[in-house]
Amino acid sequence: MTQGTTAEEKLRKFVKFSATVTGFSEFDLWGTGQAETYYKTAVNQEGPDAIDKAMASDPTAVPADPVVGSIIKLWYVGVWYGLELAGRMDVAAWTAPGRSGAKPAVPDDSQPEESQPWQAVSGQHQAGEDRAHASDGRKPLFVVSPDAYTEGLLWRAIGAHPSGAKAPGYGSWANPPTFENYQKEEVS
Amino acid sequence: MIQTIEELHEYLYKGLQLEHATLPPYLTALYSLHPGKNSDAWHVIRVVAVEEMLHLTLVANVMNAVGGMPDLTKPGFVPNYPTRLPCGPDYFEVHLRPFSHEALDTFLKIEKPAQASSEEDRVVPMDWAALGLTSNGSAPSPEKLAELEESGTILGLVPGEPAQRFSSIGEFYEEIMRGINHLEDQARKAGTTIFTGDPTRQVTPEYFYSGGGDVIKVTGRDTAIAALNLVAEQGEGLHGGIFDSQDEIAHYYRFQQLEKGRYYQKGDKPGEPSGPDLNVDWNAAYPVKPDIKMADLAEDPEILAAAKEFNQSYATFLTSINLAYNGQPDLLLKAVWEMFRIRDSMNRLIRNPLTGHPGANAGPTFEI
Repeated sequence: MTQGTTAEEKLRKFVKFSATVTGFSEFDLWGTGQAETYYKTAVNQEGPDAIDKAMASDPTAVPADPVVGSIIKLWYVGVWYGLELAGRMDVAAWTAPGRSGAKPAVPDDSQPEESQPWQAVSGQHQAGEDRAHASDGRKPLFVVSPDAYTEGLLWRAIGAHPSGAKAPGYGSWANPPTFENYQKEEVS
Repeated sequence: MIQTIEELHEYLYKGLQLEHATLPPYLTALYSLHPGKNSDAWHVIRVVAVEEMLHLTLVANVMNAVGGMPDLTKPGFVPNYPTRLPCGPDYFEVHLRPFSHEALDTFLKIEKPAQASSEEDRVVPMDWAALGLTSNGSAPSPEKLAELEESGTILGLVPGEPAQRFSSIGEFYEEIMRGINHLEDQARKAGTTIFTGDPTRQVTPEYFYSGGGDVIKVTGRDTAIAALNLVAEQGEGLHGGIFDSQDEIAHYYRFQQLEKGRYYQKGDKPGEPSGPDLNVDWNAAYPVKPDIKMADLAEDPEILAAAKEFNQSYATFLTSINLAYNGQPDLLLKAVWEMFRIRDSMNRLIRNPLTGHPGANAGPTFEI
Protein backbone atom coordinates (compact mmCIF):
# COMPACT_ATOMS: atom_id res chain seq x y z
CA MET A 1 0.00 0.00 0.00
CA THR A 2 2.73 2.42 -1.00
CA GLN A 3 0.16 4.68 -2.60
CA GLY A 4 -1.97 4.71 0.54
CA THR A 5 0.97 5.62 2.71
CA THR A 6 1.92 8.43 0.37
CA ALA A 7 -1.61 9.82 0.40
CA GLU A 8 -1.61 9.66 4.19
CA GLU A 9 1.76 11.39 4.38
CA LYS A 10 0.53 14.16 2.08
CA LEU A 11 -2.54 14.65 4.22
CA ARG A 12 -0.44 14.81 7.39
CA LYS A 13 1.82 17.35 5.73
CA PHE A 14 -1.20 19.43 4.75
CA VAL A 15 -2.52 19.40 8.31
CA LYS A 16 0.89 20.27 9.71
CA PHE A 17 1.17 23.22 7.34
CA SER A 18 -2.40 24.28 8.06
CA ALA A 19 -1.66 24.30 11.80
CA THR A 20 1.19 26.74 11.20
CA VAL A 21 -0.93 29.15 9.18
CA THR A 22 -4.22 28.93 11.13
CA GLY A 23 -2.76 29.17 14.65
CA PHE A 24 -4.69 26.07 15.74
CA SER A 25 -2.94 22.85 16.72
CA GLU A 26 -2.75 19.82 14.48
CA PHE A 27 -4.91 18.09 17.09
CA ASP A 28 -7.62 20.72 16.65
CA LEU A 29 -7.49 20.52 12.87
CA TRP A 30 -7.80 16.74 12.78
CA GLY A 31 -10.55 17.16 15.38
CA THR A 32 -12.77 18.94 12.88
CA GLY A 33 -13.07 15.75 10.86
CA GLN A 34 -12.59 17.86 7.73
CA ALA A 35 -8.86 17.40 7.03
CA GLU A 36 -9.23 14.95 4.17
CA THR A 37 -12.14 16.80 2.59
CA TYR A 38 -10.31 20.11 2.75
CA TYR A 39 -7.14 18.67 1.28
CA LYS A 40 -9.09 17.16 -1.61
CA THR A 41 -10.94 20.41 -2.14
CA ALA A 42 -7.76 22.46 -2.31
CA VAL A 43 -6.07 19.99 -4.64
CA ASN A 44 -9.11 19.74 -6.91
CA GLN A 45 -9.49 23.48 -7.15
CA GLU A 46 -5.89 24.55 -7.61
CA GLY A 47 -4.10 21.38 -8.64
CA PRO A 48 -1.54 19.37 -6.67
CA ASP A 49 1.44 21.44 -7.82
CA ALA A 50 -0.05 24.73 -6.64
CA ILE A 51 -0.82 23.21 -3.24
CA ASP A 52 2.68 21.75 -2.90
CA LYS A 53 4.13 25.12 -3.86
CA ALA A 54 1.94 26.95 -1.32
CA MET A 55 2.96 24.54 1.43
CA ALA A 56 6.60 25.19 0.60
CA SER A 57 6.14 28.96 0.81
CA ASP A 58 7.00 31.11 3.79
CA PRO A 59 4.03 30.72 6.15
CA THR A 60 4.79 34.06 7.79
CA ALA A 61 4.70 36.06 4.54
CA VAL A 62 2.48 39.15 4.58
CA PRO A 63 0.28 39.33 2.65
CA ALA A 64 -0.14 35.57 2.56
CA ASP A 65 0.27 33.72 -0.69
CA PRO A 66 -3.25 33.66 -2.25
CA VAL A 67 -3.41 29.86 -2.13
CA VAL A 68 -2.37 29.95 1.52
CA GLY A 69 -5.02 32.61 2.13
CA SER A 70 -7.65 30.32 0.61
CA ILE A 71 -6.52 27.42 2.80
CA ILE A 72 -6.71 29.55 5.95
CA LYS A 73 -10.21 30.74 5.12
CA LEU A 74 -11.26 27.20 4.30
CA TRP A 75 -10.37 26.05 7.83
CA TYR A 76 -11.98 29.04 9.50
CA VAL A 77 -15.31 29.20 7.67
CA GLY A 78 -15.58 25.97 5.69
CA VAL A 79 -15.93 27.89 2.44
CA TRP A 80 -13.53 27.54 -0.47
CA TYR A 81 -12.63 30.98 -1.75
CA GLY A 82 -10.86 30.86 -5.09
CA LEU A 83 -7.63 32.79 -5.25
CA GLU A 84 -9.26 35.87 -6.69
CA LEU A 85 -11.49 36.00 -3.61
CA ALA A 86 -9.04 34.98 -0.94
CA GLY A 87 -8.47 38.58 0.12
CA ARG A 88 -12.14 39.46 0.47
CA MET A 89 -13.25 40.83 3.80
CA ASP A 90 -16.96 40.02 3.72
CA VAL A 91 -16.64 36.54 5.15
CA ALA A 92 -19.47 37.03 7.59
CA ALA A 93 -21.84 38.14 4.86
CA TRP A 94 -21.31 34.84 3.09
CA THR A 95 -21.38 32.51 6.03
CA ALA A 96 -24.16 33.98 8.14
CA PRO A 97 -27.06 31.54 8.56
CA GLY A 98 -29.61 31.85 5.82
CA ARG A 99 -27.28 33.63 3.49
CA SER A 100 -25.86 30.64 1.72
CA GLY A 101 -26.81 31.07 -1.89
CA ALA A 102 -27.89 34.63 -1.35
CA LYS A 103 -26.26 37.60 -2.99
CA PRO A 104 -23.25 38.78 -1.06
CA ALA A 105 -24.07 41.61 1.31
CA VAL A 106 -21.02 43.45 0.08
CA PRO A 107 -20.82 44.27 -3.64
CA ASP A 108 -18.49 41.84 -5.27
CA ASP A 109 -15.89 43.65 -7.36
CA SER A 110 -13.86 40.63 -8.15
CA GLN A 111 -16.54 38.92 -10.17
CA PRO A 112 -15.89 39.03 -13.90
CA GLU A 113 -18.81 40.91 -15.47
CA GLU A 114 -19.56 38.41 -18.19
CA SER A 115 -19.93 35.39 -15.88
CA GLN A 116 -23.11 34.08 -14.32
CA PRO A 117 -23.87 35.17 -10.76
CA TRP A 118 -22.04 32.81 -8.45
CA GLN A 119 -23.94 30.58 -6.22
CA ALA A 120 -22.67 29.37 -2.94
CA VAL A 121 -24.76 26.28 -2.47
CA SER A 122 -23.71 23.88 0.22
CA GLY A 123 -23.67 20.20 -0.42
CA GLN A 124 -23.52 20.40 -4.19
CA HIS A 125 -19.81 20.79 -4.56
CA GLN A 126 -18.36 17.82 -2.81
CA ALA A 127 -14.66 17.35 -2.54
CA GLY A 128 -13.43 15.08 -5.27
CA GLU A 129 -16.18 16.08 -7.64
CA ASP A 130 -15.17 16.48 -11.26
CA ARG A 131 -14.19 19.90 -12.29
CA ALA A 132 -17.30 21.06 -14.02
CA HIS A 133 -18.51 24.60 -14.09
CA ALA A 134 -16.22 27.15 -15.70
CA SER A 135 -13.97 26.37 -18.62
CA ASP A 136 -10.99 25.80 -16.33
CA GLY A 137 -13.14 23.76 -13.94
CA ARG A 138 -12.51 25.98 -10.93
CA LYS A 139 -15.31 27.14 -8.70
CA PRO A 140 -14.47 30.40 -7.05
CA LEU A 141 -16.74 30.07 -4.03
CA PHE A 142 -18.64 27.30 -2.34
CA VAL A 143 -19.40 25.83 1.07
CA VAL A 144 -17.51 22.55 1.13
CA SER A 145 -20.13 20.56 3.07
CA PRO A 146 -22.80 21.07 5.73
CA ASP A 147 -20.29 19.85 8.32
CA ALA A 148 -17.65 22.29 7.13
CA TYR A 149 -19.92 25.09 8.31
CA THR A 150 -20.31 23.70 11.82
CA GLU A 151 -16.64 22.73 12.09
CA GLY A 152 -15.30 26.17 11.13
CA LEU A 153 -12.47 27.27 13.43
CA LEU A 154 -14.03 30.70 13.74
CA TRP A 155 -16.56 29.39 16.26
CA ARG A 156 -13.88 28.13 18.62
CA ALA A 157 -11.81 31.24 18.02
CA ILE A 158 -14.61 33.40 19.39
CA GLY A 159 -15.76 30.97 22.08
CA ALA A 160 -19.14 30.50 20.40
CA HIS A 161 -20.97 27.72 18.62
CA PRO A 162 -22.44 27.57 15.13
CA SER A 163 -26.07 28.66 15.08
CA GLY A 164 -28.39 25.75 14.66
CA ALA A 165 -25.69 23.14 15.29
CA LYS A 166 -23.57 21.85 18.20
CA ALA A 167 -26.12 23.02 20.72
CA PRO A 168 -24.44 23.96 24.01
CA GLY A 169 -27.43 23.07 26.22
CA TYR A 170 -30.55 24.78 27.52
CA GLY A 171 -29.79 27.94 29.47
CA SER A 172 -26.05 27.88 28.75
CA TRP A 173 -26.39 31.28 27.10
CA ALA A 174 -26.67 32.81 30.55
CA ASN A 175 -22.93 32.18 30.93
CA PRO A 176 -20.09 34.09 29.27
CA PRO A 177 -18.44 32.29 26.33
CA THR A 178 -16.04 29.54 27.33
CA PHE A 179 -12.58 30.21 26.04
CA GLU A 180 -10.22 27.33 26.02
CA ASN A 181 -7.15 27.08 28.20
CA TYR A 182 -4.50 27.14 25.57
CA GLN A 183 -5.78 30.46 24.27
CA LYS A 184 -5.56 32.02 27.72
CA GLU A 185 -2.02 30.76 28.09
CA GLU A 186 -0.97 32.12 24.75
CA VAL A 187 -2.45 35.53 25.45
CA SER A 188 -0.92 35.98 28.88
CA MET B 1 -31.07 -13.03 48.70
CA ILE B 2 -31.54 -9.40 49.57
CA GLN B 3 -32.27 -9.51 53.29
CA THR B 4 -31.28 -6.07 54.55
CA ILE B 5 -31.61 -2.48 53.42
CA GLU B 6 -27.80 -2.25 53.27
CA GLU B 7 -27.75 -5.14 50.81
CA LEU B 8 -30.39 -3.40 48.72
CA HIS B 9 -28.25 -0.27 48.68
CA GLU B 10 -25.27 -2.32 47.54
CA TYR B 11 -27.30 -3.84 44.69
CA LEU B 12 -28.50 -0.42 43.61
CA TYR B 13 -24.93 0.90 43.58
CA LYS B 14 -24.02 -1.98 41.27
CA GLY B 15 -27.04 -1.03 39.16
CA LEU B 16 -25.71 2.51 38.80
CA GLN B 17 -22.29 1.13 37.88
CA LEU B 18 -23.84 -1.21 35.34
CA GLU B 19 -26.04 1.42 33.65
CA HIS B 20 -23.13 3.82 33.41
CA ALA B 21 -20.77 1.13 32.11
CA THR B 22 -22.75 0.92 28.86
CA LEU B 23 -22.23 4.60 28.07
CA PRO B 24 -18.51 4.69 27.16
CA PRO B 25 -18.89 1.84 24.62
CA TYR B 26 -22.04 3.35 23.09
CA LEU B 27 -20.59 6.85 22.92
CA THR B 28 -17.28 5.66 21.46
CA ALA B 29 -19.14 3.90 18.65
CA LEU B 30 -21.53 6.82 18.15
CA TYR B 31 -18.83 9.44 17.79
CA SER B 32 -16.65 7.19 15.64
CA LEU B 33 -19.17 7.66 12.82
CA HIS B 34 -17.87 9.99 10.14
CA PRO B 35 -19.61 13.36 10.33
CA GLY B 36 -22.59 13.66 8.03
CA LYS B 37 -22.66 9.95 7.18
CA ASN B 38 -24.55 6.98 8.59
CA SER B 39 -27.41 9.02 9.95
CA ASP B 40 -29.53 5.88 10.55
CA ALA B 41 -26.86 4.28 12.71
CA TRP B 42 -26.17 7.62 14.39
CA HIS B 43 -29.79 8.02 15.46
CA VAL B 44 -30.19 4.44 16.63
CA ILE B 45 -27.09 4.50 18.85
CA ARG B 46 -27.84 7.98 20.12
CA VAL B 47 -31.36 7.09 21.28
CA VAL B 48 -30.05 4.07 23.17
CA ALA B 49 -27.25 6.07 24.82
CA VAL B 50 -29.69 8.77 25.92
CA GLU B 51 -32.03 6.15 27.38
CA GLU B 52 -29.13 4.63 29.33
CA MET B 53 -28.70 8.06 30.92
CA LEU B 54 -32.37 7.93 31.89
CA HIS B 55 -31.81 4.47 33.39
CA LEU B 56 -28.93 5.79 35.48
CA THR B 57 -31.22 8.51 36.81
CA LEU B 58 -34.06 6.07 37.49
CA VAL B 59 -31.78 3.79 39.50
CA ALA B 60 -30.52 6.82 41.44
CA ASN B 61 -34.12 7.78 42.21
CA VAL B 62 -34.87 4.30 43.54
CA MET B 63 -31.71 4.41 45.66
CA ASN B 64 -32.62 7.80 47.09
CA ALA B 65 -36.18 6.66 47.79
CA VAL B 66 -34.96 3.81 49.99
CA GLY B 67 -32.57 6.03 51.93
CA GLY B 68 -29.41 5.25 49.95
CA MET B 69 -26.72 7.64 48.77
CA PRO B 70 -25.71 7.28 45.12
CA ASP B 71 -21.95 7.60 44.68
CA LEU B 72 -20.68 7.94 41.12
CA THR B 73 -17.29 9.12 42.32
CA LYS B 74 -16.22 5.94 44.11
CA PRO B 75 -12.91 4.52 42.84
CA GLY B 76 -13.66 1.82 40.28
CA PHE B 77 -17.10 3.18 39.41
CA VAL B 78 -15.98 3.55 35.79
CA PRO B 79 -14.69 0.18 34.57
CA ASN B 80 -11.23 -0.26 33.17
CA TYR B 81 -12.33 -1.56 29.75
CA PRO B 82 -12.93 -4.20 28.68
CA THR B 83 -15.53 -5.04 31.28
CA ARG B 84 -17.47 -8.29 31.34
CA LEU B 85 -21.21 -8.89 31.45
CA PRO B 86 -23.15 -12.11 31.91
CA CYS B 87 -25.39 -13.41 29.14
CA GLY B 88 -26.93 -16.74 30.04
CA PRO B 89 -24.28 -19.44 30.28
CA ASP B 90 -21.43 -17.17 29.17
CA TYR B 91 -19.73 -13.95 29.98
CA PHE B 92 -18.86 -11.59 27.15
CA GLU B 93 -16.40 -8.75 26.97
CA VAL B 94 -17.51 -5.18 26.43
CA HIS B 95 -14.82 -3.17 24.68
CA LEU B 96 -14.46 0.45 23.73
CA ARG B 97 -14.59 0.07 19.96
CA PRO B 98 -15.44 2.07 16.85
CA PHE B 99 -18.72 1.39 15.07
CA SER B 100 -18.34 -2.03 13.45
CA HIS B 101 -19.98 -5.43 13.15
CA GLU B 102 -18.11 -6.50 16.30
CA ALA B 103 -19.33 -3.47 18.24
CA LEU B 104 -22.92 -4.03 17.13
CA ASP B 105 -22.66 -7.69 18.10
CA THR B 106 -21.63 -6.64 21.63
CA PHE B 107 -24.45 -4.10 21.83
CA LEU B 108 -26.96 -6.79 20.90
CA LYS B 109 -25.58 -9.00 23.68
CA ILE B 110 -25.80 -6.15 26.21
CA GLU B 111 -29.47 -5.60 25.42
CA LYS B 112 -30.47 -9.19 24.69
CA PRO B 113 -33.79 -10.22 26.25
CA ALA B 114 -33.14 -12.61 29.12
CA GLN B 115 -34.14 -16.18 28.48
CA ALA B 116 -36.76 -17.38 30.87
CA SER B 117 -34.80 -19.17 33.52
CA SER B 118 -35.96 -21.47 36.25
CA GLU B 119 -35.57 -20.45 39.87
CA GLU B 120 -32.40 -22.53 40.21
CA ASP B 121 -30.84 -21.03 37.08
CA ARG B 122 -31.18 -17.40 38.09
CA VAL B 123 -27.89 -17.51 39.94
CA VAL B 124 -25.01 -19.68 38.76
CA PRO B 125 -21.50 -20.28 40.09
CA MET B 126 -18.75 -18.15 38.58
CA ASP B 127 -16.75 -20.05 36.00
CA TRP B 128 -13.34 -18.43 36.44
CA ALA B 129 -11.68 -20.74 33.94
CA ALA B 130 -14.02 -19.60 31.15
CA LEU B 131 -13.48 -15.96 32.04
CA GLY B 132 -9.73 -16.26 31.65
CA LEU B 133 -8.95 -13.61 34.22
CA THR B 134 -6.94 -15.84 36.50
CA SER B 135 -3.85 -17.72 35.35
CA ASN B 136 -4.91 -21.27 36.20
CA GLY B 137 -8.67 -20.88 36.01
CA SER B 138 -9.14 -21.14 39.77
CA ALA B 139 -11.06 -18.56 41.75
CA PRO B 140 -9.03 -15.48 42.60
CA SER B 141 -7.87 -14.78 46.14
CA PRO B 142 -10.40 -12.96 48.34
CA GLU B 143 -8.45 -9.70 48.00
CA LYS B 144 -8.23 -10.00 44.21
CA LEU B 145 -11.91 -10.92 44.09
CA ALA B 146 -12.90 -7.85 46.07
CA GLU B 147 -10.79 -5.70 43.77
CA LEU B 148 -12.28 -7.25 40.61
CA GLU B 149 -15.79 -6.74 41.91
CA GLU B 150 -15.24 -3.18 43.05
CA SER B 151 -13.50 -2.14 39.83
CA GLY B 152 -16.36 -2.99 37.52
CA THR B 153 -14.10 -5.41 35.63
CA ILE B 154 -16.82 -8.04 36.01
CA LEU B 155 -20.43 -6.99 36.29
CA GLY B 156 -23.34 -9.15 37.34
CA LEU B 157 -21.66 -10.82 40.31
CA VAL B 158 -23.89 -11.38 43.30
CA PRO B 159 -23.02 -8.60 45.74
CA GLY B 160 -21.58 -10.07 48.91
CA GLU B 161 -21.23 -13.50 47.29
CA PRO B 162 -18.94 -12.92 44.34
CA ALA B 163 -18.35 -16.63 43.75
CA GLN B 164 -21.88 -16.53 42.31
CA ARG B 165 -23.24 -14.51 39.47
CA PHE B 166 -26.59 -13.68 37.94
CA SER B 167 -27.35 -15.49 34.72
CA SER B 168 -28.32 -12.19 33.11
CA ILE B 169 -28.70 -8.51 33.87
CA GLY B 170 -32.46 -9.04 33.77
CA GLU B 171 -32.11 -11.45 36.69
CA PHE B 172 -29.99 -8.93 38.56
CA TYR B 173 -32.84 -6.38 38.35
CA GLU B 174 -35.38 -9.07 39.13
CA GLU B 175 -33.51 -9.64 42.39
CA ILE B 176 -33.63 -5.93 43.22
CA MET B 177 -37.40 -5.89 42.70
CA ARG B 178 -37.86 -9.00 44.84
CA GLY B 179 -35.65 -7.42 47.51
CA ILE B 180 -37.73 -4.27 47.52
CA ASN B 181 -40.95 -6.25 47.84
CA HIS B 182 -39.54 -8.49 50.56
CA LEU B 183 -38.13 -5.64 52.65
CA GLU B 184 -41.20 -3.46 52.20
CA ASP B 185 -43.50 -6.35 53.24
CA GLN B 186 -41.43 -6.83 56.37
CA ALA B 187 -41.39 -3.11 57.12
CA ARG B 188 -45.14 -2.79 56.70
CA LYS B 189 -45.72 -5.65 59.13
CA ALA B 190 -43.74 -3.63 61.64
CA GLY B 191 -45.76 -0.54 60.76
CA THR B 192 -42.96 1.20 58.87
CA THR B 193 -41.67 1.49 55.31
CA ILE B 194 -38.33 1.28 53.51
CA PHE B 195 -39.24 4.39 51.49
CA THR B 196 -37.75 6.80 53.98
CA GLY B 197 -35.76 8.89 51.50
CA ASP B 198 -36.13 12.66 51.35
CA PRO B 199 -38.43 13.38 48.36
CA THR B 200 -36.44 16.51 47.48
CA ARG B 201 -33.57 14.22 46.49
CA GLN B 202 -35.64 12.86 43.58
CA VAL B 203 -34.76 13.92 40.06
CA THR B 204 -38.11 14.91 38.60
CA PRO B 205 -39.09 15.61 34.98
CA GLU B 206 -38.44 19.37 35.20
CA TYR B 207 -34.74 18.59 35.58
CA PHE B 208 -34.59 16.08 32.79
CA TYR B 209 -35.36 17.03 29.21
CA SER B 210 -35.13 15.23 25.82
CA GLY B 211 -34.01 12.25 27.77
CA GLY B 212 -35.67 9.26 26.12
CA GLY B 213 -38.81 8.94 28.18
CA ASP B 214 -40.06 10.46 31.36
CA VAL B 215 -38.14 10.20 34.55
CA ILE B 216 -40.25 8.64 37.33
CA LYS B 217 -40.35 10.18 40.79
CA VAL B 218 -39.94 7.30 43.22
CA THR B 219 -41.84 7.65 46.48
CA GLY B 220 -43.00 4.15 47.25
CA ARG B 221 -43.19 0.56 46.13
CA ASP B 222 -45.30 1.13 43.01
CA THR B 223 -43.14 3.88 41.60
CA ALA B 224 -39.94 1.98 42.45
CA ILE B 225 -41.14 -1.09 40.57
CA ALA B 226 -42.35 1.10 37.68
CA ALA B 227 -38.93 2.76 37.43
CA LEU B 228 -37.07 -0.56 37.45
CA ASN B 229 -39.51 -2.08 34.96
CA LEU B 230 -38.91 0.84 32.61
CA VAL B 231 -35.16 0.17 32.80
CA ALA B 232 -35.70 -3.46 31.89
CA GLU B 233 -38.32 -2.85 29.20
CA GLN B 234 -36.45 -0.12 27.36
CA GLY B 235 -33.55 -2.51 27.01
CA GLU B 236 -35.19 -5.73 26.06
CA GLY B 237 -38.85 -4.97 25.39
CA LEU B 238 -41.97 -5.69 27.38
CA HIS B 239 -41.94 -9.44 28.05
CA GLY B 240 -39.40 -9.80 25.27
CA GLY B 241 -41.56 -7.94 22.73
CA ILE B 242 -40.27 -5.42 20.23
CA PHE B 243 -41.97 -2.49 21.92
CA ASP B 244 -41.98 -1.37 25.53
CA SER B 245 -45.06 -0.25 27.45
CA GLN B 246 -44.56 3.32 26.15
CA ASP B 247 -44.57 2.07 22.54
CA GLU B 248 -40.87 2.71 22.17
CA ILE B 249 -38.79 0.15 20.32
CA ALA B 250 -36.59 -1.71 22.81
CA HIS B 251 -32.82 -1.31 22.52
CA TYR B 252 -32.19 -4.86 21.38
CA TYR B 253 -34.53 -4.41 18.43
CA ARG B 254 -33.23 -0.93 17.65
CA PHE B 255 -29.76 -2.43 17.24
CA GLN B 256 -31.11 -5.37 15.31
CA GLN B 257 -32.44 -2.93 12.71
CA LEU B 258 -28.83 -2.01 11.89
CA GLU B 259 -27.93 -5.65 11.48
CA LYS B 260 -30.96 -6.37 9.28
CA GLY B 261 -30.82 -3.14 7.28
CA ARG B 262 -34.52 -2.51 7.87
CA TYR B 263 -36.66 -0.67 10.41
CA TYR B 264 -39.26 -2.34 12.56
CA GLN B 265 -42.86 -1.24 12.40
CA LYS B 266 -45.94 -2.07 14.42
CA GLY B 267 -47.12 -5.64 14.03
CA ASP B 268 -43.69 -7.05 13.12
CA LYS B 269 -42.43 -10.27 14.62
CA PRO B 270 -39.07 -10.25 16.43
CA GLY B 271 -36.28 -10.83 13.92
CA GLU B 272 -38.45 -9.87 10.92
CA PRO B 273 -38.56 -6.10 10.52
CA SER B 274 -40.72 -5.01 7.58
CA GLY B 275 -40.42 -1.22 7.76
CA PRO B 276 -38.41 1.10 5.51
CA ASP B 277 -34.89 0.26 4.40
CA LEU B 278 -32.07 1.43 6.58
CA ASN B 279 -28.60 2.10 5.24
CA VAL B 280 -25.43 1.39 7.12
CA ASP B 281 -22.00 2.24 5.74
CA TRP B 282 -19.77 0.00 7.85
CA ASN B 283 -16.64 1.73 6.57
CA ALA B 284 -17.66 5.30 7.40
CA ALA B 285 -16.20 5.20 10.91
CA TYR B 286 -12.89 6.33 12.36
CA PRO B 287 -10.74 3.34 13.33
CA VAL B 288 -10.56 4.08 17.07
CA LYS B 289 -7.93 1.90 18.73
CA PRO B 290 -9.95 -0.62 20.78
CA ASP B 291 -9.78 -0.18 24.58
CA ILE B 292 -7.33 2.66 24.10
CA LYS B 293 -5.31 3.70 27.17
CA MET B 294 -3.22 6.74 28.01
CA ALA B 295 -0.16 4.50 27.68
CA ASP B 296 -0.93 4.13 23.95
CA LEU B 297 -0.55 7.87 23.42
CA ALA B 298 3.08 8.35 24.45
CA GLU B 299 4.15 9.23 20.91
CA ASP B 300 1.34 11.73 20.38
CA PRO B 301 1.80 14.46 22.99
CA GLU B 302 -1.05 16.70 21.75
CA ILE B 303 -3.47 13.79 21.81
CA LEU B 304 -2.16 12.64 25.19
CA ALA B 305 -2.82 16.09 26.64
CA ALA B 306 -6.33 16.15 25.20
CA ALA B 307 -7.07 12.62 26.45
CA LYS B 308 -5.90 13.59 29.93
CA GLU B 309 -8.06 16.69 29.85
CA PHE B 310 -11.01 14.60 28.70
CA ASN B 311 -10.62 12.18 31.61
CA GLN B 312 -10.46 15.08 34.04
CA SER B 313 -13.56 16.71 32.60
CA TYR B 314 -15.36 13.37 32.65
CA ALA B 315 -14.49 12.96 36.34
CA THR B 316 -15.76 16.50 36.99
CA PHE B 317 -18.92 15.65 35.08
CA LEU B 318 -19.55 12.54 37.21
CA THR B 319 -19.07 14.72 40.29
CA SER B 320 -21.72 17.14 39.00
CA ILE B 321 -24.17 14.34 38.25
CA ASN B 322 -23.47 12.91 41.67
CA LEU B 323 -24.33 16.21 43.34
CA ALA B 324 -27.54 16.27 41.29
CA TYR B 325 -28.37 12.80 42.59
CA ASN B 326 -27.58 13.87 46.15
CA GLY B 327 -30.05 16.62 46.84
CA GLN B 328 -29.32 19.22 44.15
CA PRO B 329 -31.32 17.99 41.15
CA ASP B 330 -31.19 21.42 39.49
CA LEU B 331 -27.48 20.79 38.84
CA LEU B 332 -28.54 18.25 36.24
CA LEU B 333 -29.43 21.09 33.88
CA LYS B 334 -25.90 22.46 34.09
CA ALA B 335 -24.46 18.99 33.74
CA VAL B 336 -26.09 18.91 30.30
CA TRP B 337 -23.78 21.73 29.24
CA GLU B 338 -20.87 19.59 30.38
CA MET B 339 -22.26 16.68 28.34
CA PHE B 340 -22.19 18.77 25.19
CA ARG B 341 -18.59 19.81 25.84
CA ILE B 342 -17.71 16.17 26.52
CA ARG B 343 -19.28 15.25 23.19
CA ASP B 344 -17.11 17.82 21.38
CA SER B 345 -13.96 16.60 23.16
CA MET B 346 -14.74 12.99 22.29
CA ASN B 347 -15.28 13.91 18.66
CA ARG B 348 -11.93 15.67 18.48
CA LEU B 349 -10.06 12.75 20.03
CA ILE B 350 -11.70 10.18 17.80
CA ARG B 351 -10.93 12.12 14.60
CA ASN B 352 -7.20 12.25 15.35
CA PRO B 353 -5.00 9.61 13.70
CA LEU B 354 -2.28 8.18 15.96
CA THR B 355 1.33 8.35 14.83
CA GLY B 356 2.37 5.78 17.43
CA HIS B 357 -0.14 3.25 16.06
CA PRO B 358 -0.44 3.73 12.30
CA GLY B 359 -3.88 3.01 10.92
CA ALA B 360 -5.59 3.59 14.25
CA ASN B 361 -7.22 6.69 15.67
CA ALA B 362 -7.31 8.08 19.18
CA GLY B 363 -10.34 8.05 21.44
CA PRO B 364 -11.34 8.76 25.02
CA THR B 365 -9.72 6.29 27.41
CA PHE B 366 -12.18 6.73 30.31
CA GLU B 367 -9.36 6.13 32.80
CA ILE B 368 -10.84 8.04 35.69
